[in-house]
Amino acid sequence: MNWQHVRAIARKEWWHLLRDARSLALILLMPSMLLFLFGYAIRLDLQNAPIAIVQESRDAATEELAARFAASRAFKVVLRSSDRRDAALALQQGKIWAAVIFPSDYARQRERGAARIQLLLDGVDANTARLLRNYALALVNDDLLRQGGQPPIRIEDRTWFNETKESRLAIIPGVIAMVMAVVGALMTSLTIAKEMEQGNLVMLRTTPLTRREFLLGKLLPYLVIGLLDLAIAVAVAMFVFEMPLRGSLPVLMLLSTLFLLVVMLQGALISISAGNQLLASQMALLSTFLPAFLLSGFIFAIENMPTVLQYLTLAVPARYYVALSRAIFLKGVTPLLLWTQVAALLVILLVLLRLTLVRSKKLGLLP
Amino acid sequence: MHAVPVILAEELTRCFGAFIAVNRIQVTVQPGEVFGLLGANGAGKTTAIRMLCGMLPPTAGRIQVAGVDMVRYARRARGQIGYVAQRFSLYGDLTVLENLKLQAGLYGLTGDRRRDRLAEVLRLLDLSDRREVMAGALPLGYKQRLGLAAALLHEPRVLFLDEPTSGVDPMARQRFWELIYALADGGIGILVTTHYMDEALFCDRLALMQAGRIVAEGTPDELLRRPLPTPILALDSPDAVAFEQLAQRWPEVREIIPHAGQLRIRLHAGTDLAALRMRLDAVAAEHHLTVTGVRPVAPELEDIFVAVLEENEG
Repeated sequence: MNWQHVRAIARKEWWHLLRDARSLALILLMPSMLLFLFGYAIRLDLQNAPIAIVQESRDAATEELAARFAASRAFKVVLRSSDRRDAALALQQGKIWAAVIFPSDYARQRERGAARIQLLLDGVDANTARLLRNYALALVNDDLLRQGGQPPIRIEDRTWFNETKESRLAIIPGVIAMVMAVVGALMTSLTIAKEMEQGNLVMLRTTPLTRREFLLGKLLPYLVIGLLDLAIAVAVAMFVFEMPLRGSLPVLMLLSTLFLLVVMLQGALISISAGNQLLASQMALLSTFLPAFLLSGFIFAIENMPTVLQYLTLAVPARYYVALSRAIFLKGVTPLLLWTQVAALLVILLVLLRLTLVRSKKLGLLP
Repeated sequence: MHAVPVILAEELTRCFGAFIAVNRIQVTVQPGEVFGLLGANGAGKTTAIRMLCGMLPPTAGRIQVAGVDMVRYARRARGQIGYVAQRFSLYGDLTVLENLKLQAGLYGLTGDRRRDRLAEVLRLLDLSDRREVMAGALPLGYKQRLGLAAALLHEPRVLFLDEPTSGVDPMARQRFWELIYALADGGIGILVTTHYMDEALFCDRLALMQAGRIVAEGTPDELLRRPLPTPILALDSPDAVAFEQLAQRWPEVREIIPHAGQLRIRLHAGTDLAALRMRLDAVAAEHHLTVTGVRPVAPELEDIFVAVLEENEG
């Protein structure tokens, strides 16, 4: 390995990067943009869900519970009526997601301890329907307890690591993983294909440059940019989304660098195999975005997936990184506890490195 | 003169599957020599030059560049060669100077030597005023010069030029060749491929390739002195068109080429020139045509090459 060669290639790649101001701006802004987009768009908790309250008789008892629904942050009462047909219509039109119906004999039955209320749910979005049901159930239970009711069993629950059960806290590390995977692989997928496309390799092939020196020199500037992206993403997570960082920042950065190297090599491998920029960028986007989104466990728990898919996730680097960064952000544990995840990332890194070196024979540079 | 040749290729062969692209060729280029490699597209020129500058490993044979084995010590051998590709292959979005700095790094130039060489090639190729210009924005002739500057930066012992002047205007071509001579005078061995016959005459030695083999080799003078198996007669006549019509069907006539107001009549091998001249005179008298002059023509390089190629095809 001749370091002067590596430096020469890295420096020229850096010049390319600085010259192409538009792409550089895009690369540096993309993490924040994606983080804002997904950080605000993906919400797994309910806020201001539009509901209807139907009171077939207006009395003090129904008013009281209805007021609790209205006061909850989770619901927003957009329709009040005394006729359940109004609620049915609104549900069909999609104006409301659920309707709470107090039957006319609610107050009387309540005295006897046998009151019923009906909850009509829009099951088109089953996930939201389930959430609505749980929120409503909790609200009614809380009300009961507050009035001194005594259910036979009480669950004393405390949610560790995320007291307020905000889904945001679980999602942000996943979004960071996704952003880094996409940006890291996309940048490097273009760079080698570009040289193949433009015919620059013809000139490089007659110089004493080896393929290892070429690959290392090409990737180094992108590692710097990638780390800068990472720092931006972590800063946005901490200061804009108020993500608590309970573990060590250096450890987080170290493991993030490991993940970054994995996705960069993935991009480089795609770049060499594809040989042209358009195909390479499409492949890089597809092979990082979808797995990081669907199979990393950041939205959909891996344990709930069909067995085949669970095995498939083993090959998704984002899966290990999501687990690691969540643990560092929220639990503050040392990665020693999660050494299997670190080891898995290392194995993937070595496999990708080997494949990239083998494929790079195609470049026609010196071994 | 028995200096170590800067290029020495023996029995050089390259096969692509069953196809033999280059078939046991010998190439020797001495320091200070301009060696021209000619041939039609597909004759094996490009494959040969790619092997000689180490881009393509040979199937069989030996290549030494400046005394270094190109296959076994590829890295060291590459430090001795400069290569200018047919197509511009430097970086269009880097400036002239940045492109040269990259080359300096790849060839391991440092310190004073790096600074001096950068200044030297910029001066030599008249690029000093354009050092901050993006290479992609240079006119074609200047791109070619930048390619040459990059190839000369590390003072190679051998220079490979693959069709260096294709698409360059005649003035620039002239200057380019003056520079090539100056470099050769400085002791660099130069191997150049070209399509242009007038450029071939500029070379010290020529080799003509056909179907993977070298079918003719020598200095331009040696090649021009070769007895032409198919003689050529030049006929000066105001009635050239009529003569062309008449002579076309004669058995000894191979082809008639109108050339600068004359007819060049290429004949089959073994034609009796005296008998043919008599026949021409007879025909002229019969059809009342005027003949201003008939004489055998000294063949040009192209005529020699066409004859050699036809001979080998037959």
